[in-house]
Amino acid sequence: MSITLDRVRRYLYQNRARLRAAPSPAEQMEMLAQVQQPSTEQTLASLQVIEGDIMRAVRIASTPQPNGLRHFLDGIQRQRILYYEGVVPVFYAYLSSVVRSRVNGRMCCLQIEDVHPLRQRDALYAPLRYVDAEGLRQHGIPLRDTQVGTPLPPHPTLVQVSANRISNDRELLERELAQSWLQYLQNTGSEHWLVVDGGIGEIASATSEARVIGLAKTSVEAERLLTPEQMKVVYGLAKGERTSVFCISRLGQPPIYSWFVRMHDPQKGSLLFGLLRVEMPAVPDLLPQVDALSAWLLQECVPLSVPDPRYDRLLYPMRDCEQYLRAIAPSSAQLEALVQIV
Amino acid sequence: MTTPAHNKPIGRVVGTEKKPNTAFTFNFWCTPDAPVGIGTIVVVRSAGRTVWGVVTEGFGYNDLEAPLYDYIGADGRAEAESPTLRPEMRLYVASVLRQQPEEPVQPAPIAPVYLADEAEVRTALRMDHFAERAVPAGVYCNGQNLSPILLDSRFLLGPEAGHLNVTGTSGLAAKTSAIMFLLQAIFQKLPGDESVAALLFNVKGGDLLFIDLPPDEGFLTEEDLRMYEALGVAPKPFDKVVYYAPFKQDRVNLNTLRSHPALRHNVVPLHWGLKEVLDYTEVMLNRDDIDVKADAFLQFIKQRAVDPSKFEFDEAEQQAGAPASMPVTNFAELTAWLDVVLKVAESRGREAWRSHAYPTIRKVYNRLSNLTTRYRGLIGESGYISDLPDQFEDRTVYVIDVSQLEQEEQDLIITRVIAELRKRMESHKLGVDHLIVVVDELNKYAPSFGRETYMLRTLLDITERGRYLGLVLFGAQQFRSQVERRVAGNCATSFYGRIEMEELAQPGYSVFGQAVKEKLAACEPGEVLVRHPHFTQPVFVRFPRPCFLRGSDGIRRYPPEEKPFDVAVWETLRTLDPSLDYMQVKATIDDLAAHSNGIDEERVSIAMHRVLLERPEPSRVLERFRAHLPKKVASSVLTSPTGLTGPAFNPAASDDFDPDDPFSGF
Repeated sequence: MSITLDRVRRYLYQNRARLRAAPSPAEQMEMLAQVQQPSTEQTLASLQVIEGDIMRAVRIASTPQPNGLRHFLDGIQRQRILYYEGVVPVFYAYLSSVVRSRVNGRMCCLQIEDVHPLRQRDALYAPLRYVDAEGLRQHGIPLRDTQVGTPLPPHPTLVQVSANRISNDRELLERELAQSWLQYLQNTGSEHWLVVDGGIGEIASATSEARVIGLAKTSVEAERLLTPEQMKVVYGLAKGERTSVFCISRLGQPPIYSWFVRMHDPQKGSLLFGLLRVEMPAVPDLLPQVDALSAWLLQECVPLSVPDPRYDRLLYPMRDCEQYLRAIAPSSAQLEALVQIV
Repeated sequence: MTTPAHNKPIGRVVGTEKKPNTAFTFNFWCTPDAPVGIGTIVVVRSAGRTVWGVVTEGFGYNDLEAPLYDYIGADGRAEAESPTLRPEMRLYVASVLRQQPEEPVQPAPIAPVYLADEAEVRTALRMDHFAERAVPAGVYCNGQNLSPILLDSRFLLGPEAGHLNVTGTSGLAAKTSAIMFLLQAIFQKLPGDESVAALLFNVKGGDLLFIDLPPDEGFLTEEDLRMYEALGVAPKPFDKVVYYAPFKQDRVNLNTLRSHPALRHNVVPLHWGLKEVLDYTEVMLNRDDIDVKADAFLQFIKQRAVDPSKFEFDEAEQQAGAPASMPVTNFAELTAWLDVVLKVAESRGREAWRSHAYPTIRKVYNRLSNLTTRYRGLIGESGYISDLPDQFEDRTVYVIDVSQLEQEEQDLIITRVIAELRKRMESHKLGVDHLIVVVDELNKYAPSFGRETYMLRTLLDITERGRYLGLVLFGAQQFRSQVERRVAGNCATSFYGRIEMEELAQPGYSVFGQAVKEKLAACEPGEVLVRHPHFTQPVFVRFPRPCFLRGSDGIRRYPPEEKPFDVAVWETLRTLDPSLDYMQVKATIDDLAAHSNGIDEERVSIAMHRVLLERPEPSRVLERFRAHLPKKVASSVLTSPTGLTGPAFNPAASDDFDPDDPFSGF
């Protein structure tokens, strides 16, 4: 990644006279928060309990099966407005995704031939028609067009479009890696599971029978569909309990199975403390695995992901993925050094 | 730049704002299973710079921010199982040994870290600069690989620098073993055109009394032999050793545990007379004895009587009963001379004699006349001297056995020998290019507190100037902090074995990091930390057991055997006449016993010493021995012309009998 940054540095030195300075990190954060709109769109169409007639709390029994959650996938993105060309913000974004595997209790990146467990991309994001795209290309800088039309949209829109594009690219990167990895697991006949951070809707649509589960730390969409009785069950889960499995459908996506698991004692925190929602491909043959999967998840309570504030729902291996990716990502200092050129 | 044999990096240099690298230290991480520990030598290789360092501190980390988190995560249950183990790492701090290019001096680059192989170790410690004059001190262990650690002989034995100081707890194979192995290495590896000898004091049991004999089979382990091979030192005992020991109380047998008949051939008596010890009254007499007045009179005796070997009384003294002159060459003559002096003083009403007060003379008389009794096996009245050789010989070890002596005798021997060596050093009469003198318990002879003694001044002089003049001190002690700083500080090379924490807490050890101190506190036998002028940082070194028969094994294999009195006399006289017949000597002694009241060992030993002092032709040894024995007085029964008869004359039956006086008994 340092190659891109190096090229950007040279470009900025050559063109700094006509470029305008980027906002400070605090200003950028505020800007992104303002343009980020709360999702009002109802992407989740329905929620239907499929394990029994009504949603119930189920005590998770320990399982004799060895923990099958072996591979963990997560991604990060790091973005920064580097400069303005006129009034057009030009973002630098670094995206990465990794599968970390647990071997003898230790998290590591498996070195396998077919699939590389780490994917990284970085590029400048901007509406190319409004920036010096040719000059940037001549410097060998990878570009991603945010494709805004004419006339030039207002500045908040430009920021939002770039931010969305970056997020989409990151999700795409994760999805690509997840699919490659699941393919690898299928090819090798592995019985181990891949755990991804967040929902698996997109992944499930491509490989519906894969051994993959998603862990949603926040479930606003699903919670909106809960009936008052179901809410009572979900929020009333004690540590070590799960809800009945239900099937949820999203618009344009295949249905998936899901259930809530209480990882930690809610008396130690809020209503949502330790409440994790699990997603699994909607394959009836996989339903018998729900208890084992839930038991394995409970085993993941140790070690805690502290000091991460989401430690009640963030599995330690997922935190390991984040730590790994952060360690190899360009540092804030590197990006700020670029910003200072202009 | 050499290519490291270990091409696989074991970690990477890291530098943070909180813990940056400097030109003298750098930080690097390792996996827990990396073969790195305190003392490991590593190398950082980047495109433009290579930095060698030795690990001086280590830290272990996992990703826990506080112990409480682990407690909470486990719900307070130690037995809680975790499907995932937290990542664990080691962070090490290394002190820079060397860097290339040497200028400009820069912090270590952020680059991979490798274990140093043998070639790298040689470069890191600058041992490539002095290969032709290198002396191996031990090996640096890098896993199964043994890299020789070499010392520059010009910085160990002079003239560039010199002297060695060894610190370590007693009994843990650190001090004596390290020195003895180093001596073996010096003797074997020092270039042939440089001569070297060593002088040791055996202060305990039979430790150093069998160093010319091979050890018991199996004494050297395979690891020892590997180290010998790696260092290019042959595992063999010292070729040439001469042992010295004072006499026992009988003044005939030597006071040493090396008295087995098979080993007596290279054991030589150590025996001194008046001139040898008069300079060391400070050691022999206690502080109360030597006040200013007594010291002045002792100086008078030395300068006016002993140095000229005779004393001439003036006329007034002669009128008071003194002879015109008296010889003063040995204790017997000194005592006689003091008798006369006292008699003269008494004749003058016990006034001062030659400005020395009568009580002072009396006190000195009492103290000096007592010395041959107090130091009976070491100091004799007769003047017989058996001392160290005039010239030391190349590759020879001289061992003075003081282990069987009282403390005051040990002190006298060590002080006088060291002082004598210094005198020879000054006059370039050592006979070898380098004479190594090994002094244990340096904190006793050169203490950091108390008054400045003769011994301290001597040791200071040796450490300050000896390296130019060929006299090198290998000193050892348990507590370096209690050794005079100048003496220890003048030693360019230092070894540190296991050291107690209390000692390590002394300011002198503040140059070492905490981890190094902790390793020192738990140092294995056969391991020392070595400081040497060429090494920017001290390094831990292992050395093999020295190859000679261990004291306890030697005593078991060659149990001490005290010789019968007549045999001891015969063997001593045989040093002058190898063909001397035992039966003749025995007959002579028996004959004396027959006309005395049993064997008078005192007189026989005096006669023997007188012969040794005279050193007659071999053919005259027995004759001179007989001549020095008390005369036998012939007896006969006289017949009275008047017919009276009396008892047979038998002077020996009389209580007043003096065998030296042919008229005694009348």
